[in-house]
Amino acid sequence: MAETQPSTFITLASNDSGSVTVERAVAERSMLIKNMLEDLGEGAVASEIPIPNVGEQVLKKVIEWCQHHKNDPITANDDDSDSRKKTTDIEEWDQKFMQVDQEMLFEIILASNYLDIKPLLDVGCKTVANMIKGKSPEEIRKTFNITNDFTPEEEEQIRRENEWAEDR
Amino acid sequence: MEESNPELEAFRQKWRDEVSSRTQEATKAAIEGRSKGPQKPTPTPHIAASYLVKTQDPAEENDGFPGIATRGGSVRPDRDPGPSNEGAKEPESALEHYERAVERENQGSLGDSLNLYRKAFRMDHAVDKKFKNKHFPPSSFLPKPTNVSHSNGSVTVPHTAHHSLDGPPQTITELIASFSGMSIESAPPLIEGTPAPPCPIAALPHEIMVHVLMELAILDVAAFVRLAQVCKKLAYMALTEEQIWKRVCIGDEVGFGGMHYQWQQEVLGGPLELGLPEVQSLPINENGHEDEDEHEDETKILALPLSREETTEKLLASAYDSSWQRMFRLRPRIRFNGCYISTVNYIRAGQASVSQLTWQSPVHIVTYYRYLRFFRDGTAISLLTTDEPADVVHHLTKELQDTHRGGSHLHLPSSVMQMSLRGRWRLSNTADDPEADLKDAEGDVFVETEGASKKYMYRMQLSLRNAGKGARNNKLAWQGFWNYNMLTDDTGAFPLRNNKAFFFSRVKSYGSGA
Repeated sequence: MAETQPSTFITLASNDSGSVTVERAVAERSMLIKNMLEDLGEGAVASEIPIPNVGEQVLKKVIEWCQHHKNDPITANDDDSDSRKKTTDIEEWDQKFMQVDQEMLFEIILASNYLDIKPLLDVGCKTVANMIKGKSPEEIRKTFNITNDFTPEEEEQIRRENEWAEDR
Repeated sequence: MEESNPELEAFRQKWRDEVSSRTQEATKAAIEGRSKGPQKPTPTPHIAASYLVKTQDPAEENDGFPGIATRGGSVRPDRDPGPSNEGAKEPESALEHYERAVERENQGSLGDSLNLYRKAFRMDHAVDKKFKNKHFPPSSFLPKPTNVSHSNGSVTVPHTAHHSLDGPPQTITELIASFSGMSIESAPPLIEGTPAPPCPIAALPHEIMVHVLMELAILDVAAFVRLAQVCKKLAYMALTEEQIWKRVCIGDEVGFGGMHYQWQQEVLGGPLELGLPEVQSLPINENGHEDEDEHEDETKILALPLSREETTEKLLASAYDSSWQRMFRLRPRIRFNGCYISTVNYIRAGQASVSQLTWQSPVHIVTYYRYLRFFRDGTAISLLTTDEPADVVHHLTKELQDTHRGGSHLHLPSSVMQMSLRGRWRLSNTADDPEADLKDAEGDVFVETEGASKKYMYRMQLSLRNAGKGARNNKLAWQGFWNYNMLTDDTGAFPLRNNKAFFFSRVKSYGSGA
């Protein structure tokens, strides 16, 4: 469908009353938008599509990603953890794309979840996983501003319980 | 020889007083028990030597293999502020000597270590007990009873008075369960009154957090588990999210998806030649493994009665309490991110000097190493050498093995690899032992390698065992070692007398394993 109408543009309205005009094929990287457009029929294409959970800045960033990946083959939509295994690496463009401050990173993750863009969600989660990897618990707390809510006894107990997994 | 170190005696006295004043009968009993400990004869060189052997064996049996201890960092002298440690600050103490001796022994320099052991025992005949109590207390890694901190949940002797404030320690399961409703708390502001620093990770819904942790677990399981120490919410997730553990188990990164239960290729590499008769494999006689290869042949064609997935599912329910975490932790598994090293030390009597009258008889201390590295494609490298691990492990690659094949490039530091043997590995399966149930059938690993000369093949059978606190699958105990003469079709067994178990060592340069 998208391929036959390459020039159709649609407008997305963010929750902070910004609007982004984008090629339909690009916007349809989002399963949410794709399904919505299909449900509403061609008539709805002309009107603005509200994206109530996403701010303009984040929306633009997400669209930038969709633009770059618009020709990627669409992966199977079934949420099977096996289907996305193997590729733990993040491709270079995506790595650069994800070099944003932490708030933006998590906004992108939330937006990609809401808009149902699996590959972007994957990249986001992998980026966070990479931020965690190789850090000590204290460093992780610092990185993400997390409070240590353990008592010293609990912390020690957990540490001991998990000793087996070190060095794996 | 029995002359005691006055300083040490004074210290012990002090310690006794301290303990008994703090806790009453229970501890006292323990002290008595300790001082009543085995009265070892005053060490002569011979006895010291036999100690060396003795101290190693029991340590291997119960969790306390020194090598592992060092690796885990628990032999560091200033680790726990227990009483024996105050002694260790004194560089002259028996324990200090003993610790250093263990360290040396682990490095393989037996001569030094022997001297240190001797000194240690001369100062205090019960030093080995002290050492054990310090580093491997029966119930946990926790410091000894006199430890001033109240943090420990379980200790070597019962003295509940000490802990009445905290109430009985919770079990880990209860503890984790109590975290179920927690959420990630953001850090308080650095300066009171200013807005707290942003904590966007706290805003992630549970399912996305699971997704993040899943990616992390695939990248690095240790990092994933370490996350449990960050905060309660993450502890709860890391220790209870079975879907993540399932992914880890099924996956081939570190999980059972990467294990081979059948041969993947011929001993020297190259695809299996299914049609040919099994001249390549070793028919093993004597030890009741005759049928090995027939079984294999069948299984190659007929496949196992259960597929890998079916086996996994069945085991999950039957052997691992339906817990994927448990399965990952306990099910026999080969590790690729390091190599397995067997250090063989033995002492051979030497010729006493005829021209001198001595009380001692000289001995030869023989040290050599066996290395095994497993690869994901089912191949393996086996190497027997006197070179120490630091000089070997980084060269234990197939590339260098090829480089040095036939004794070329001997000027390179990796020339030790010229003696390495190509081989293949697989874990045992139900076909190897139809009698055993599904779980028990899995515990062995077979390694077949080329021989030292072309007409031989070697076959090792090793059992995956555990050594060290909590760690699993880090030890390979010998079950059998055979050679097969391909020209005469003879099989012989190598004696296992001097063979010591292999212990796993992580090697960073291997990455997650090739």
